[in-house]
Amino acid sequence: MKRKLNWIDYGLILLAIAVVSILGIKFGVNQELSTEKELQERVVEIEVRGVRNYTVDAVKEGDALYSNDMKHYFGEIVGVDSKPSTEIMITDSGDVLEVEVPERYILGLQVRTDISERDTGYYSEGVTEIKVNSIGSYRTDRVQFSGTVTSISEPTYRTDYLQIGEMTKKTEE
Amino acid sequence: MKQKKFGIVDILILISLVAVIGLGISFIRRPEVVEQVETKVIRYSFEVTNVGEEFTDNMDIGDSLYHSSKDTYLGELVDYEASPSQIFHRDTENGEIVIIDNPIRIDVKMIVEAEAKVVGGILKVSDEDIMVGRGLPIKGKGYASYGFIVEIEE
Repeated sequence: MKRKLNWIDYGLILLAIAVVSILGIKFGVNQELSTEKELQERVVEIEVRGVRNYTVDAVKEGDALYSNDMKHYFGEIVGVDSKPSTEIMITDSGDVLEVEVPERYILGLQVRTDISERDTGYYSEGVTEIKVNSIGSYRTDRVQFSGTVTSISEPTYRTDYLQIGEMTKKTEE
Repeated sequence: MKQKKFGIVDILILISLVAVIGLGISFIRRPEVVEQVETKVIRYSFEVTNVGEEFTDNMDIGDSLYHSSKDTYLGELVDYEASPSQIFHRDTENGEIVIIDNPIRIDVKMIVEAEAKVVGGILKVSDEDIMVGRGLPIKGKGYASYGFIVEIEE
């Protein structure tokens, strides 16, 4: 005689359907994400305005940079420069001047990062969304600051970059 | 009495049970990740700006410093220096910005010594990240203010 299904059996079948559906949705999402292009190396320039010498001194080439908002690795600092900070002033005679602010600096950072490209934008290390003119909070292991992304470009320093062994080989030739 | 036969549902239940037990065992036996934590004595400069001279009048070398709201220990005051607060004057007549000393307010740079843990490369004192640019509410026994870490010596 054939056994009839009871409410526990129906419950289990529903549970199985739910699990399959969840897996299906997850699989669908993964498929969507898999349409991302591969990670590409880029140099992101970040400008930090109006900081004091303490911040300038605390940032070093080779430091790892993290997004303080997203708590994720952003990239490696490959270039650091600084110049006096400026403000716009309208003088008594009506002239519009760009004047230096004493003891305040504009810190420029070049950050090497791997970005993924999606329809909605560019994502550093696949996580932190980066756009020119976007303001973000960043940190290294020793300093934190807010800065504005001013450019995203292909790295140019690699074209003439040589490994130590290659340099020796080139000299011998 | 007729003996019940094993159905597909029973097999599913058995598989589910085995899976749940397996997951449970793997969870219990999961090795604990023990992070290596290095400790070191550091000195950091903590700057408080635009305060009255009564701030340093209440300050003594050797004071214990705490987080104002959490009451957690942030280190020992080993030195401090006071200088006039700065006023950025926009001189629109000559088209320049000049710094003028404030005659009645001071900036105080406090040198704090503490034993810090290095967690994931970050210096931590009582779980507070010690990094340049970090703002903290700090207090001694008879004084308190908000300020920023400006320098770190390791």
